[in-house]
Amino acid sequence: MDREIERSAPSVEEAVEAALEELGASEQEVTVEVLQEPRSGFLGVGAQPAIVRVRLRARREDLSEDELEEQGEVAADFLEGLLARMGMSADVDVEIRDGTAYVEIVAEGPDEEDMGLLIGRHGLTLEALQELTRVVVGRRTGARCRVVVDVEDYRGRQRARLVARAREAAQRVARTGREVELEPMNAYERKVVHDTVAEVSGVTSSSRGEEPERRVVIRRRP
Amino acid sequence: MRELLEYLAKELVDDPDAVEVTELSDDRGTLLQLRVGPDDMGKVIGRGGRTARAIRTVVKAAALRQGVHAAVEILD
Repeated sequence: MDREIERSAPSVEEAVEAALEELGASEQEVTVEVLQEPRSGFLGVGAQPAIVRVRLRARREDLSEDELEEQGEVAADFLEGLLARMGMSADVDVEIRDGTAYVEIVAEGPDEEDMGLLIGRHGLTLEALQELTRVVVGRRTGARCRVVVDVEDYRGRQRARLVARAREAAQRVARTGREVELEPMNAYERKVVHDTVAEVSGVTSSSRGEEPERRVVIRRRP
Repeated sequence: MRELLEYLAKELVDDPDAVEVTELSDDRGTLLQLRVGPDDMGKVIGRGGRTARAIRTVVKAAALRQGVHAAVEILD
């Protein structure tokens, strides 16, 4: 399924980058069409921004339901073996949704402490579990890993918190007209924020700065 | 922890029989030394050291659960 969006920015490069961020895609996965070359004009007179149309091609490596289930199972087996060796009793649930195998670790009993340990500070241990799972699944199945590991819906809760904060900031900008710059975020988090801001009328968002200091800026729509 | 590290390494390499973990403990904590086959070094280190970093993070979490301090050393 192709998705396409149009974006404008002072340069073609920035417009493409904004579009890629919104699509959550890499440059290799899209076709770019420049609709308007930017012009700087004279003292701002006659200046025009670059406008690009970016189309996300259907991903070639989209996996079948069977392949996703296989990946989910390999991931669950690996994580169960790991949990056993950590001396933890927890369940691992697999759910196939939107072309992704979601593998969630859930405590068997009321064992909050163990689950907190698996998430780690700022989710760092969870990211480590994700990384190891990605490598193991890639090795076993020979395909690109489409598994997302979670612990007690940590990712879901983080996302909900981020959406609430982005909405609040966007509404404040709409009310006061003053721009708001959020703290540095990774590409996934910025996409969540852009999607949320797009639902609030009268405001627009873009990103500025370089990774890992890249931040979302919310402004009133001119 | 030793069993955990052995498990992780064996899941990542092509030659699980070559995986060897030595555990050294003193009053400051536990040092786990990991050895893998020469062709498998890259597998446990990963691009930019990502896999090695993930292994260390998980082993540290397991150690924390037992209230000890642990470090992982990868030997070639």
